[in-house]
Order: sequence, then structure tokens, then C-alpha cells
Amino acid sequence: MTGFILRRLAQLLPMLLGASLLIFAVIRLAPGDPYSGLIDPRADPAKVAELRRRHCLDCPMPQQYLRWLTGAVRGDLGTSIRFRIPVTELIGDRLGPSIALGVAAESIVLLAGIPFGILAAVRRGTWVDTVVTTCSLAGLAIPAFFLGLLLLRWLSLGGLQILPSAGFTTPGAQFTGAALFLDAARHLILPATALGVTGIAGLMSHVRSAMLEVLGQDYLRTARAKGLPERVVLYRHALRNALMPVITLLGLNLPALLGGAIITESVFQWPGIGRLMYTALLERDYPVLMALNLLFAGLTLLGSLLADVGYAVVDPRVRYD
Amino acid sequence: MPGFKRFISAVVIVLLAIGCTRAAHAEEPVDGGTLYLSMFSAPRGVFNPILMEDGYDANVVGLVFAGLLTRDERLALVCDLCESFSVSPDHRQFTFRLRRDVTWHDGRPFTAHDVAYTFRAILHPDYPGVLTGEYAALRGVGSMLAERAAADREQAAGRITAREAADRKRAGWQAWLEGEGREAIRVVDDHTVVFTADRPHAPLLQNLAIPLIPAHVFAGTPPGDLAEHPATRAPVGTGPYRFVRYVPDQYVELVRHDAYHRGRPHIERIIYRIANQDVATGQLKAGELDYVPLKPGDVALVEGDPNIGVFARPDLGYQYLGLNHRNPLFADRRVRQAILLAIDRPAMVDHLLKGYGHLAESHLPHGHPYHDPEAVPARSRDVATATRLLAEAGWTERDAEGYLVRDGRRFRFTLLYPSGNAVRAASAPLIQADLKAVGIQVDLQMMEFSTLAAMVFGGGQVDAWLMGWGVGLDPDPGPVFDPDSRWGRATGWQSARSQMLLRLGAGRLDPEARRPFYREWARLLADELPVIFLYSQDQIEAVRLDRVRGLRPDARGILWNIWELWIPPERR
Repeated sequence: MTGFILRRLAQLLPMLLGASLLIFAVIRLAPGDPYSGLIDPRADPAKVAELRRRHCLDCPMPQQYLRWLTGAVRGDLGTSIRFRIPVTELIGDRLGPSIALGVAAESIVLLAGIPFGILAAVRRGTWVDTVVTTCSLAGLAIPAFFLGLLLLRWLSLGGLQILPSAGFTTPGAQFTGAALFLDAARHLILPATALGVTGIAGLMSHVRSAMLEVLGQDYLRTARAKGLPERVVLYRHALRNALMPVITLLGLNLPALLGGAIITESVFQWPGIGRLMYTALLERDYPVLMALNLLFAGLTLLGSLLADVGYAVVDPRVRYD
Repeated sequence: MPGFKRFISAVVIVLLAIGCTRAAHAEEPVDGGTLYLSMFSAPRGVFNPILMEDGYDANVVGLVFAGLLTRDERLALVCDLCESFSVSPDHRQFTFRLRRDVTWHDGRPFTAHDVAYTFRAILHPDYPGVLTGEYAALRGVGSMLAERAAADREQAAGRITAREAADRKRAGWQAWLEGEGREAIRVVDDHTVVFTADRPHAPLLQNLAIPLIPAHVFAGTPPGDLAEHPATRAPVGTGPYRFVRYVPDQYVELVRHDAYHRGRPHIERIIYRIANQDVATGQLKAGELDYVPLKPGDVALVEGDPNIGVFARPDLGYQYLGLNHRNPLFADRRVRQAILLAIDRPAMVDHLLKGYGHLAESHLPHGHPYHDPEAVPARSRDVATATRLLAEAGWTERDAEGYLVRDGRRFRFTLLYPSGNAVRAASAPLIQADLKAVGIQVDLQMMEFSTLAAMVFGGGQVDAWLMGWGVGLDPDPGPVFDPDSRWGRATGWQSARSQMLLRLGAGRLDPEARRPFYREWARLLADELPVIFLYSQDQIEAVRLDRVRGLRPDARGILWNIWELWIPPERR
């Protein structure tokens, strides 16, 4: 198993290299460059041309790529052209809030999706199944931004007014330690709910169908025949086998955890990666785009590796030698 | 339209009345409290007036920094950091006598050296910003910039290396600094600075009004490294509020500058929050925000609330439909006039802007100090005249679908428009429908702004596009209509008369002497239509009246006197 993980990690490097080349090419295929949106007549064209040269935007493409690559190998992902600070700092500032939001939302998805999926499968065809399935589909059908606005209306700006409406922390407050954690947690509830609720349906339906498939298997009948309590049958024998598709889903979800919340981030002014990505995309901030896309590529690869490891953990038949 | 205008002025009057009555029975302004402002996009954090390229950074810079000159209620230039300024009889010299009571936020006194430092940094060959061309009129700067351009051309042609080009630029800089540069920017003493221009050039005065940066903070930093200097992100200025911190994507925190030269600000702290436009109105009503810029459609949401005041003023900018004059379809002036008359622009103002806007007829929009409604009367929709003008231009026949045809070809073009500005995006299908009514087929294509700008201003062959211009307070349009600039090349419109009028207008400093030229120029543009002028949108601002006192809204906006505003203790 360790050998397998090491081998996969070693494969990661050439794959990232290939991904970086592909990302570079695709980003440059888009028309315009970081300065094409700067149409202010006050902007001296001679000066803009000079800035283009300074960032080597007029260099031949291979040279630009090599320039980026040699920097990246040394750990220097470059300086954002529009923000004028190192890309690592720009992303670092937003990584924490993004991870917090992603993990909280995914926890909601897991904590609701798995039990409700089991429940719907076990009580298949009864009113419980109908209610659970309908609710989760309703959650899927409501766009995150709309749910976000409703939550704001009910819990923050109107209605109960018990939760903050926007941001990661209370503006101006200089909390540290536990107070900071509690403050951020209060701010996290609404965006995590808005983002999480829409994801429940997908996971729930996967768990439900996987469980249904497993529940009909002979070995479950055997387990019941042995006189095992229903709880053990369900959780030890059925769920463990039903989890395979769920693990795949979670593994592939890893990059979306970080960058998949642009709209939710925008409604709640959450200072995350998604909005940075969007801004950088609109402005062709190449160094930022390269770094973020590479981060997502890395996470995708890592996610599939984690999924493979996860298979081995839940399914004793899976062995990597 | 007039109804809406009356409504707006009524709102302003109500707001003023509320302010007055409250001020009448309230005691003196009280110090303290926190003001919550909002903007809808995150600043980049480049809080350096000579480097920022973004309006959201400018919001913060406007509170932290001050310049030599500012605007009075009629938007005329008046002293801010100066006690007085004078112009020499030949209109080539500007002498500023600086105030002696101004201190930087770090406590150091503000002097003429700071003024000289700011403008010299902009003119330095390594300066990493884009403002250099604004000062080409200063003595010797024009020829220095021409030499730099020549070095660039040599380098592009491969005759000299990049290093040689850079060396040549630096040598030219040194020569200027020791020669004409001494005259161009002359520090007479700690509190007097004199600028000399090669020729009278009125827009220069507005450019000299930009916020100033502290020489002592940036001292020793090569101008090429200004962007990396910590004070570019944590600025030190002379404005009413001192920068405390920027929490990326969330808020900027400012605290009052006790030694502010126009009076110690009453409000202790400002939190400039980055808000979502769809949520901000709710946050204003809930009392989380004190100030929100409104969309026309959101005014109705706060109208009934007695605690919220709404203030609208003309924005110095307008939207236009750009046309490529090289396309034979648009070469004829009558066709352009027909397009303008065929489009129901009043409907855009009434419905898309809910009356918070004005028809644009020329480059200087309603509310601009040089706007003259007599010279360019508003034109409403006139399909009959449009049809007649098209017929005069040779478009008489129609095909089976009702579109105009000439020589077997239909009058058809593609209109590109950017995403982002919702009102502008909504105007595109209206234009399409209106032009269809006179027999012109328009194909619409939406794209994001960078792509569109690259196509329009990058030399791409584009038929027509929607975009907007911001207009400075000086009537000179800069290079926008200069056929040799990248902006002028986009339309390809050429007019020797326009060039001449602009030259004459810029060559005089007295507003009354300039006015006739710009009146004439505005008339020329309204008639020639280098672009189809559409509308200008009002800026609408909403403020919590129960919290913010001391408001004196005028053409400068609602927060211009921020240091005089105060929050009653019981509302904190």
C-alpha cells in the first residue's frame, strides 16, 4: 500500500507538468491579455506597452512558459499583474476561508446525505422515502444563491436576525484565539448551509441506490439469518459496500470544495478562492490563473488518489501491490 | 422624464430638509462612532494614487490622500493642500503656495518636496504605472517621451538591446532632470512649488490635482520598485482618514487623522465594507451599512423608509454605441443620424434607468460643467426622420422580411456588447428591436469585457459595440477622439475641425474663454456622431439619516465633507 501511494505520488509530478502546459496554452488562447481591459484614456499607451514588455507578455509563448516554469520549480509562482503582490500571498490569504467553507459545506452534505440515503433505501417506497427524496430534490432545485438570499432574509437581515449577513469575521473586530474561531463559525453557518443543502440530494441519491443494490444481495440475507442485529447488518455489512461510489464522488469533489463556491462566496462576501479565480479570469491575470488552475489540477489528482486509498480501506478485496 | 426629474430634486430637498431640522434641534456635532460604507467589488489593495488602475482602490485613496487642488460645489478647481495658486499671464506657469498646517499620517510635515517627488516619480522611465502621458505638456517632457518612444521603436526593430534602450531612457531622464526638468517642476522653498509647461495646456491643471504621495516614505526606493513598497498597500497620506488595514475581499478599516487640515473629523472610524449589490440594500435597511450606492431599480426598496435618504446626481460618463466608420454601412453621416433617431433612447432612460439618467447627445454629458443643453438639444425618437435619412443615403428598397437592401445586400451588422453592466446589456435587445423597425438587422453578441476591449481597441475589425466613457471634469477628451490614438482608431472617425477646436480649447485656461470652443465641438460631435451617444446614468447614493448627520450633499456627492459628518451617541 505504501509503495502504491509513493508510486502514485511520483506520477503526480509529470502529470502536473503536463497539466501546467495544457493550462498555459488554454489560458493564452483566450483573446486579450491583462492590459486589454485597461481602456482608460489616461493610460499612456507607450507606458502600457512597456509594462507588457516588463511582464514578458510580448515574448514568444515557449519562452513565456519556460519563464513561468523555472520560477514555479523554485517555488516562485510569480506576482499578480493586477494585485501587484506575490501570487502565493494572494492565494494564501483566501485559502483558510475557502477550506473552512468547503469542509463545513461538505460536512453538511455527508451528515445529511448518508443517513437520509440509508433511510430512504431501508424504507424504500414508504412515505419516509418520498419525503426524504422530495426534500433533497427540492434542495437540489433551489440555486445556492437563492437559498442564500432566503437564509439572509429569514435569519440575518430580516426575521430572526441572529446571524451575521456577510464576511468571514466581524469587520473591525480584532478577535484572537477562541473568540476569533467563534466569530468565524457564526459567519460560516449561513454560507455553509446554502452551499451544503444543494449538495445533499446528489449524495443522498447515490447512497440510496447503492444501498438498494446491496440490500438485495445474498450476503445480507445470510447476515440477517445469522441473527445479527439490524443495525450491524446495515452499517457493518451493507453500508460499507455501498460506500464505494460515495468515495469516488467525494474524491472527485475535492477541487470543487475549494473553488466551486463562486456564487455563494459572492452572496455572503466570503473571502475565498472562487471569487479570486473569477476576478483573475475576467482580467487575464495570468500568474494567478496558472497558480489556481494548477492547484485545482493537483487537488483533482490528489482526490483520485485518496479515493483509491479509500477503496482499499472499506473494501478488503481491493489490494494495491 | 420631467416627472422623474422633479421627483429626484424632491428627494434631494427632503433629504436636505431632514438634515436641517435635525441639525436645528440637535446640539453640536459629537465625536466618535464608526461609519459603515460599502462598495461592490473588492479593491486590489493598490492604494497608491499613482499606481492604482481601479475605481475601488480609488474609493479608499480618496479618503486617505489629498491633492494640491480639489473641487468646489460647482466642480471648479480650488485649493486643497495649497493656500493659493496662480497662473502666469502667458498661461504656462502654475505657482502653488502650500498650506503650512498639513501633516502626513505619520506626523511628518507636508512640503513642496512631496509634490515634486510625486510628479517626478510619474515621469521616471522605470515608473510602473500608466499616468506618464498626462504630463507631456510640462517643460521638456514631450520631447523626453518622444525620445523614449524612439528608443522603444529601435529596440522593437532589433537595432538596440533592451538594456541599451533602458540606458538611453535613463540618460534622457538625467539630462531632463538637470536641464529643463528644473524648470518643469521647481521647488522654490518648502512651501512653494512652480510648474512650467511648454505651452498653455488647460487639462494639466486637473492632472496636477491628483493625490500626492509622501517623499520621505518612499525615499530611496527605485521608482521601478514602487509597487512592491509596503506603503503602496498600507498607504500614508494627508487625507481625513488614516489607513489601518485591508482584510482582503472583506473590508478596509480607516481611522480619523486628528491633524487633518480641513478640520478634525468627528467620526472615529470608517469600515469600508465590500458588499454584494443584491444584499447591500437589505443591509442598509437592517442598519448594518450606513451608505450604499444604489441601482435605479433598487430605489423603490428604500423609498418608504424615513431613516434612509436617497440622493441622485449626474454621473460624468455616458454609454454609447460605437461604430466602425471604415465599414461602408456607417460611413454616411445620415445613416448614423438615422440610427440615433431610430433608437428609443428616452425609453432606456425611463425604463432601464427608471428616470435616473439623461439622454447623451455629445461627449460632455448632462451635469458636466461644460455641458450646454442649448448647443446640443435632446433628440427623442423619430422614426419618420430616420427613415427619410436612410432613404437619402440610398437605402430605399426593402426585402421580403422588411429589411433595407441596397445593391442586393441587406443592411445588417453585428453588435458586440460586454457582460457586467446589467442596464447596458439590457439595452442591446432594445436597440436591436428599434433598428429592426427602420429595416436594419442587428445580430447581437455578448462577450466579457476584456475580450471585447481587446477586439475593439486592439485593431480588430468590429462593426459595432456598446461601451461607456467616463468623462473628466476638464472638457478636454484626451485621446478619445484623436484619430491616431488606439481609442480614436477604434471608430476611425476623423475630423480636422474637431482636432482644431480641441487644440484651441486646451490652449486656454480661463473657463469662459474655453467654453465657446467646447460648445462648438459638442455641436460638431452631436451632428457628426463619431459614436451613437445613448444615455448617461445618475449616481444614486443612499444613506442612513438616523445615523449620519451633517450631510451637505451637492454635485460632489453625499460624502464629500466626510470630516464634518457625525453620528449621534444614541445611534451608535
